[in-house]
Amino acid sequence: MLEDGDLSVVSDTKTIGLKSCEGEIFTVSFRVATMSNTIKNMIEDLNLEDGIIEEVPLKNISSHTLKKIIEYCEYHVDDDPDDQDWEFSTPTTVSDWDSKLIGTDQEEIFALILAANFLDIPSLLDVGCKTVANMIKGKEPEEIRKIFNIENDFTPEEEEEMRAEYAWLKDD
Amino acid sequence: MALPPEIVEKILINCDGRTLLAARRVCRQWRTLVEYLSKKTALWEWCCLEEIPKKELTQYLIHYNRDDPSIWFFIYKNWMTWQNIAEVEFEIVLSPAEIPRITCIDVFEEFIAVGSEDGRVRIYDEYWKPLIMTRHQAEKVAKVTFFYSDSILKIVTAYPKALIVDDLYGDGYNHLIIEDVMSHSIYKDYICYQKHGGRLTVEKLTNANNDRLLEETWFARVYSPKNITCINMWNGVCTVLVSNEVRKVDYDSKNILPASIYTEKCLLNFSSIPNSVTSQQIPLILRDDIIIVLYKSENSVDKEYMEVIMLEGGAKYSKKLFNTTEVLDGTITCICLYGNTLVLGVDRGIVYFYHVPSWKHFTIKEYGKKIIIGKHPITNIVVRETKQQRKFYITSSFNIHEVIGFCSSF
Repeated sequence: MLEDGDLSVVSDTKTIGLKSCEGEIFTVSFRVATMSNTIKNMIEDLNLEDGIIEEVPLKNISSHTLKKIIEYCEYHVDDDPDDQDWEFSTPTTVSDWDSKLIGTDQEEIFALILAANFLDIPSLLDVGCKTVANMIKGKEPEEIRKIFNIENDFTPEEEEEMRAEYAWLKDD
Repeated sequence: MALPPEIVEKILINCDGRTLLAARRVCRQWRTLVEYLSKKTALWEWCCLEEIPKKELTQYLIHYNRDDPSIWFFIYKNWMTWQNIAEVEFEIVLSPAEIPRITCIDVFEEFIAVGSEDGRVRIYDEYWKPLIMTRHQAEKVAKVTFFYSDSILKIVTAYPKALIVDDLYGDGYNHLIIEDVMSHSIYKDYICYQKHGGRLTVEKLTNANNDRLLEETWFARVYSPKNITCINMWNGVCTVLVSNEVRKVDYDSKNILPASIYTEKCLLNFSSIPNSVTSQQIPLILRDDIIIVLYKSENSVDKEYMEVIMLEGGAKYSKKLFNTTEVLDGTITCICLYGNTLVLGVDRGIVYFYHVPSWKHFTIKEYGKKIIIGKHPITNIVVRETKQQRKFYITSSFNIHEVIGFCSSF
């Protein structure tokens, strides 16, 4: 049954061009592109359901990352959205296909997560965050700082204070 | 490339507890995020339920107020601290209380009860301020145990031939006496005792409004009472060892009737000890799934063996035998299992702390800490866990030491 505004059914033949920060244009079907809530909302808001959209500039996403995102969306386009309790699902499992796509390079993963966040693709964002959670699993604070390039901003006084706070609690 | 806080939050929510503890120490922002998540979600409760073995968690929860949502963080942190006993910081404090000939001890919330050879039971607060003293008989107090439900707090004093159930702040007269008791075991508001003739009774502590303090929930007769070697009440399961048969009954199940048959039976085949004459075989039920048997011999070389029997449900079990003489400096006089920590006390005043994540991998050699308490045999080890520490009360006949273990990294 076709209903007006049912994008996922109607828009199968329509395409949209996504332009990376390098200027490269990737043409994908509406169905795949609207896995991104950001793009879906844009199409709805601007009433662009009918036409072919030649290019949507994505200035903060590289071609490399965009390729991965499209690959991800094409693979998962038929997933049942109700099937994914993505927000609080445990344990931390990522399917083999997904983890192969995401890879192990920390910079690439972070870029993918930021892009998934910008494009609002909840399932990809979740997979990315789970991958990072697995990367830091069981690591010491110093190792985590290295992965995230974070500086230890606790002053020695603060550390001492927290110990003191602890010592005070000890007599509780 | 830096990730915004809302993404770090999504990463943290997918982390296990150990990583979350480390995340709190990464930087200010991460610490704030973990604290924010702890308040917004049941983060630490999830970690506890997912990661801590159920039987361990049951034991930890006894010490915490379930209405306080912050307990889960501390339960988790304590559990994690005691995973690596070598890193635990210990403090040993001698109790200032002067008690002649200590025989037994129990702790509950802020109360400490100590029994002595002369029949006295002394109750202290956690700072050793004396509160009450009772003396029902001029005989040795064999065991003293707090006995409680949500609204009632009693204390059970075991003399050689009778059990006395008292109010903590009673007048000393209004008490219940159960005569002819050979042995007993208490878990929260349930008691199981064995009478001289071989009757086993499980009773529940009730509100005394209808004059009946105890309500019988189950009983059984054992035709050869001498063969009952030990009884243990633990979290809804009463386990009895009759000769070499383990019998279990689920005492707080809804279907329990006073004469219900045993829920489970399991025949054990105790080990025979190589090249030695066993003069004594002492079984001890630590939990509804763990029995330890000590084999003592006159042999001067291998004085003692310890067997761990892991009950696996139904008639299945597995066992492991250890020569303790090779490892321990003395023979075992006292055993305490608290969650993931096993403590062995020996006759030369030393205690050994073991981390026991799973009994299948337990070995007597791998203790995490050895602490010399004194020179007299260790007679009792009981535990009180607070948000910041685990405190072991360790007694000999002459004194009580508090062995406090904690982790000071924040």
